[in-house]
Amino acid sequence: MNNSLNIIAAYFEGSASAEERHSFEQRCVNDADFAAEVASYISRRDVIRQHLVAQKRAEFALLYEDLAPVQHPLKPEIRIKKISFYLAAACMVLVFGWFLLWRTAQVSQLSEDYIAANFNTLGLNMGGKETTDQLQRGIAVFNAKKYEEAIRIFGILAGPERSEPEAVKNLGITYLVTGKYEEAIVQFERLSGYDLYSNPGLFYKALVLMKRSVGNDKEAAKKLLQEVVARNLAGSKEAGIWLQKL
Amino acid sequence: MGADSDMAILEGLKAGGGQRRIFERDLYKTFFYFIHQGVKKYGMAEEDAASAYSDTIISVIDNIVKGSFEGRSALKSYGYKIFSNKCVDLLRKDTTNKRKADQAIPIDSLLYELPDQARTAVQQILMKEERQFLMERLIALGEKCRQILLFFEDGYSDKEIAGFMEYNSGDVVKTSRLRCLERLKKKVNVEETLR
Repeated sequence: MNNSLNIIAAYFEGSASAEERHSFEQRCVNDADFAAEVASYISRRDVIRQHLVAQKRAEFALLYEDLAPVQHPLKPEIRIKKISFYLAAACMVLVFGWFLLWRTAQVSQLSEDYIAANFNTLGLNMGGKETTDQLQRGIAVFNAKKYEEAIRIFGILAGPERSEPEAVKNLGITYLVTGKYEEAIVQFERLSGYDLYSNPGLFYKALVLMKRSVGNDKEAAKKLLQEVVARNLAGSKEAGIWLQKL
Repeated sequence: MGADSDMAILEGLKAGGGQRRIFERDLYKTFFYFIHQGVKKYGMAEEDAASAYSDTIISVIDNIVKGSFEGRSALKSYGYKIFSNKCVDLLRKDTTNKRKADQAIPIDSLLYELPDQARTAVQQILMKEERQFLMERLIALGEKCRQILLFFEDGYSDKEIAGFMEYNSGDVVKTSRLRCLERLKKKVNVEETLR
């Protein structure tokens, strides 16, 4: 292993002596190669931290769903006062939104068709392990359209302690069908990191981006689909067809 | 919330192990009402206040685990101070439309642990690093490697990670962990030479 890495890790993990710390700080200033090593180390640690924070945010988002109170409707008189404002706003949104919708509709339609055809129900897995039983329960509640409960069950199985790839996939799908696109992307990114015989992670991530279709989503989805085709990953057949339409 | 409850959460978080997540969730539930206060005080959307709250809890956990929270104030005051700052940051970001934040060096970067001169020298190089690309490589690194790195970043010791992931000892975890970091770099270097 690279000796610089041991020195850098000792500094940031607090196991370097005062003398070593001083020497480290001097090297950062006087040795450009070493400073580059330190920069690279910091980048990697920062990115790992960002990934961790994204995971924790997703976990807390689940908890928020459980704890958030039911929204109470506004009082009637307030509703009436605001209704003309809302109508005007709605007209503007319709006029300007129609143009944008028209442009994104084609991309969005491809993904919607796929979602409707493939994610209306999930297939049950066979097996007797405790995890498999829970997974099946998650699938059953998903198929019963009890999505919040499905998120809770898949969330437990996909947590850091267990990280079942099938649960990660199903959690992502559940987020996708409930319109929680950010969370779906996080799960599909995780899924794509598993070493599986057939891994649809990147394809599903592209699917989410196509469904969401905001900002650079379409371009990002296109790149992912190209990667799916180039690496012959799960979903490459559909990806090839979609790429001709994007 | 009283001093006893504070103490139970603090001890639970510091004790680490598999139980830590339970106390993380307890902490989240305990001050959940901050979200409502954020909506009222700052006129934010509930979604934004919830986001600021979630980041607050992540910071508080991090500070407790790493020993930065010394217990001089009650957990509620400490948490609320962080929450207020997060809300104000969020509002500023919205009003000035500073959407470049994702590309900038994060506020909790290790860079800020360096003294001024060393920081300047490293920062000049750091600006050129491509974070998004590194993130993609991290995801492609493999579940086991990524999990070790994430556990360590979450403040778990090498010894605790050995327990979770069935390694023989903390030393083995440390060696594996640094190898994973090295692999992340090597993957990046290979990709860079191919570009």
